[in-house]
Amino acid sequence: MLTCKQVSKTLAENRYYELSWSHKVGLFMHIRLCAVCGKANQQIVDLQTGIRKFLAREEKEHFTEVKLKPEERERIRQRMNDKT
Amino acid sequence: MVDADNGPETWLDDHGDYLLQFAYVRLRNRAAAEDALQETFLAAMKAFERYDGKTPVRYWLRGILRHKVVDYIRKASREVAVDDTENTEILDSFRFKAFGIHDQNPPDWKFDPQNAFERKEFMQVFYDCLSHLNENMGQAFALRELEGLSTEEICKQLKLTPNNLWVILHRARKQLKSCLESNWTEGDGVYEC
Repeated sequence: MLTCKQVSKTLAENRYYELSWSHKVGLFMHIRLCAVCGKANQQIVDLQTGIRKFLAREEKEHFTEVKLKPEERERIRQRMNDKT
Repeated sequence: MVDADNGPETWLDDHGDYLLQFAYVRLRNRAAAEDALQETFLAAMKAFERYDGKTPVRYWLRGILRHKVVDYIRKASREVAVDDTENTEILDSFRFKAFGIHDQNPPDWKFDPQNAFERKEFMQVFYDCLSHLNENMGQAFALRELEGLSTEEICKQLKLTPNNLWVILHRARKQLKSCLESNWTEGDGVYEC
């Protein structure tokens, strides 16, 4: 049986995919049975869901909240012109 | 596929803001994002003859930018001293008992994440919090979660031990969570109308 410490380490490392089959089963059982590790796992999953949604939105909407300042634009333009 | 619509002179106006933002989220540093963008354009000008037009030029430029971002982080990380206060902090934060059983519950979310993720305004908060992760954490977090690099790859790029990376990612998640909690309340978004 895995200890909470091992479970937390595996969760924090986020390397489930590299685990052996028996380790995966152990991890899954532990997360299901242990309220605290279950919660810790859920919070990591929640954050990852947030990141996935953020990336999907970034991909779809092409945010431009941060905009080039005129002087930055000018600097880059200058450099590009130097190269041509 | 060189034509007037997608030549280098159009890049800055058509894609500059988008690419800057893309780099900024990952580098969290304005000057670094500007540098990465500039290097991307310069590299792209050199390689433009080989651009086959199969993908829109924006995505092609973004592909180059991704490499520049990873390069930049790798270079920057040489200057960042790796702190190895690893195990004490992890043990403190998880509070393990002698047999490795949890002694401390992770605190609950202060809002309902599932609900919040659907809100457009939340993504702004999420974005701000991502941009405010501190340098060391932000680099590792961006590579792992935004760019999807493998643990081994990140350790190699940032010259970290897996243990260090584990600590850094754990801290980053913790900081991101608390940042989200202090900047988002369920009532937010009421002002959307």
